[in-house]
Amino acid sequence: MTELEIDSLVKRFDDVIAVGGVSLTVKAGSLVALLGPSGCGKTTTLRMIAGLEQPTAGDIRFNGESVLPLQPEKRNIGMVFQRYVLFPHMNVAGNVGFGLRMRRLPKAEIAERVREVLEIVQLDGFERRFPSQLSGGQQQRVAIARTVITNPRVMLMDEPLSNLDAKLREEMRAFITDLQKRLQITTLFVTHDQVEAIELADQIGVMFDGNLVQFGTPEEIFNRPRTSRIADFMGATNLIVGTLERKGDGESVLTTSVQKLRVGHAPPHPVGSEVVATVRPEHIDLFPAAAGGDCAENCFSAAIEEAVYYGGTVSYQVRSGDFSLQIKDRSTRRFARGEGVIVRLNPENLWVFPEVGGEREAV
Amino acid sequence: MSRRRHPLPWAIGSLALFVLLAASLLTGRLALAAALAGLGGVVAILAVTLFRRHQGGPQRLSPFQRFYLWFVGIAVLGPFIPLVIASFAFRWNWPDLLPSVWWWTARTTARTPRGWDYVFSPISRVLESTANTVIIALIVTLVCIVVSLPAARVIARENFRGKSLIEFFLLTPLIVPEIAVGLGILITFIQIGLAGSYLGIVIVHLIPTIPYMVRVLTSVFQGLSRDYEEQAQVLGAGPLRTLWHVTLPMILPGILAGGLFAFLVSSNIFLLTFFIGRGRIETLPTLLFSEVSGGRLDPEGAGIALIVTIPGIILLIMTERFIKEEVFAKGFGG
Repeated sequence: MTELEIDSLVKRFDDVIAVGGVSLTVKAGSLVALLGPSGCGKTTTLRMIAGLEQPTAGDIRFNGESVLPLQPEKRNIGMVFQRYVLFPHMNVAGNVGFGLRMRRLPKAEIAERVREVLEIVQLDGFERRFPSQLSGGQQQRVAIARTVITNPRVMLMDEPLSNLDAKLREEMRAFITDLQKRLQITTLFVTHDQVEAIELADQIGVMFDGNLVQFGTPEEIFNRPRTSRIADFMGATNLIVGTLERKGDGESVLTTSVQKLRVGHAPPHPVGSEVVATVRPEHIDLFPAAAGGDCAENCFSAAIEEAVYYGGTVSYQVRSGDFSLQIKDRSTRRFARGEGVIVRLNPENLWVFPEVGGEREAV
Repeated sequence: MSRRRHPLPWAIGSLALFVLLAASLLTGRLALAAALAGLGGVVAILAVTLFRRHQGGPQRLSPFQRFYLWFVGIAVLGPFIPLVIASFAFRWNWPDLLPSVWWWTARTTARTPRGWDYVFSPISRVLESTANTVIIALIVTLVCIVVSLPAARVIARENFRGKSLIEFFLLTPLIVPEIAVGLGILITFIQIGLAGSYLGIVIVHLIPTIPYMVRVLTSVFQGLSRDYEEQAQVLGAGPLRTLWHVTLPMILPGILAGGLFAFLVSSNIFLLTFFIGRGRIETLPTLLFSEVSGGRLDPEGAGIALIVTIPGIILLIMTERFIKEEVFAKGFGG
């Protein structure tokens, strides 16, 4: 098993810095997701590991040994491209066996290995089909089979699921994690979809503007984002601006334009500083206006501006003064547009950061 | 690229060819007429092929479409009729509609072989010229592909200073008159001993063929995502094996289309072959020219003119099923 180590990797295209000094380690046999919006440099990082781009500075090591002097074909990596890029002039067996043919293995052995791997990806019997005769999901599995057959030291995946429809994507997610755990291949994959990253990865690296802004387990990234921008990217899309009024153990209080809010943990900022609190749409409680008496703290009344039913959840847009919050409610109760409600923000779910869109650390 | 490209451009092109052909026949420029007829044949087959693909099945043609089809057919094949008749004629004087004496009646009395007898006899040098033409064209095509592939790949994929200048430079052989280039080359080649050699002819034939090839292959490379080559590389294929196992098979249709162009252009070059070959190396165009330069449409000239059109037509039929119409269209328009 191979440990992949990226050390202060920099890539500059003319004047543009695509990757600005990224360091991270993918432990042997683990699956790490590079998560970030498009253009954040995650694909460029992947391509540098594959050897398809030359880094401007920094190092890439497999088990402590730099692979930079090696051409892509010598690095023994597997790469699954976003569009699968199956060779259209070869059938499935030809595609899957390509890597072994390039390693000059005997024909009989190649045929045997191809059969084995196709069985693993549940495509046995598809040897003679051509890529154009396969569905998207099948093409994806051929692309993965073609990659794992060479027993790569490191497997790289560039948005492997973005071309599939929702149902197939679920299946493929399960398939990829299962396969990766079974074969124990060190894997780095790139995605812009936070749900995908959380579900698949052992660890997530969040990238913005060419920099790795947070690296940790999915729980850490999801529950303790370091900046409001990461929180926003991870789905905590409600931002509440306020002033820090009081600090104490579990007793910090935020003054906002609507009312005072208690937050569950003490931010390291001085009293009186401008801060922004984020909260996930699914972490906000919603009550009918009549039940207002039961709510002790962090409650305020608001009006429903918009209600969209998504099957299982209802997405509301509510407004109270300057606050406009998005709320995802899983209960069976429905509120109509214009109806008055009570909103409660649980102190534990409020995360406080220095300023709106700020990149400075918090908590 | 739309599937429903109208055959109108082809029809107009054929009409232009037809007018040129008629003019050249009337003025007695048989070499030109034969070359044009060959080109016309190519256009006809293409037009019909494209038309068939547009229909996408047995479908009734509109009167307009039928008109176009007949128009193209007549415009292209029509001019061949006098050529075929002339090749079987012994005496065909103006204003007779048909020859007064046919070749097969004169055959028995003639002292030397006439008409098709002459064409197929060793004296005519038709066989030797055909072999020369085909061999030269094949070598030119191969060399042209080898030279143009890297050039086209770079032009399609990379951005560098002076790229547009190079692209323009590659087109200049189509702009500068052959005779100007040919004279200069002849003088140089005489000095370095390449005049009158096959090597010399292959080199000069590359001048007008490379622009076509580079244009066709550039568009092919633009359509081929870099991902395929990168994927092959990541799977362990070095640059040469990537080229052989992935790139070449994927651009084969484009190579065939470009190769067909190169072959047709090469096998139709008269002036450069005439200059550099210096009469020692005879190809079909030079043979035809020496046969008909007197301006008479005798049966021998007509026969050879028909022979000249054959290699291109055979090649086109052989490669037709590999060639995508888009590739062809891009070769013209970029």
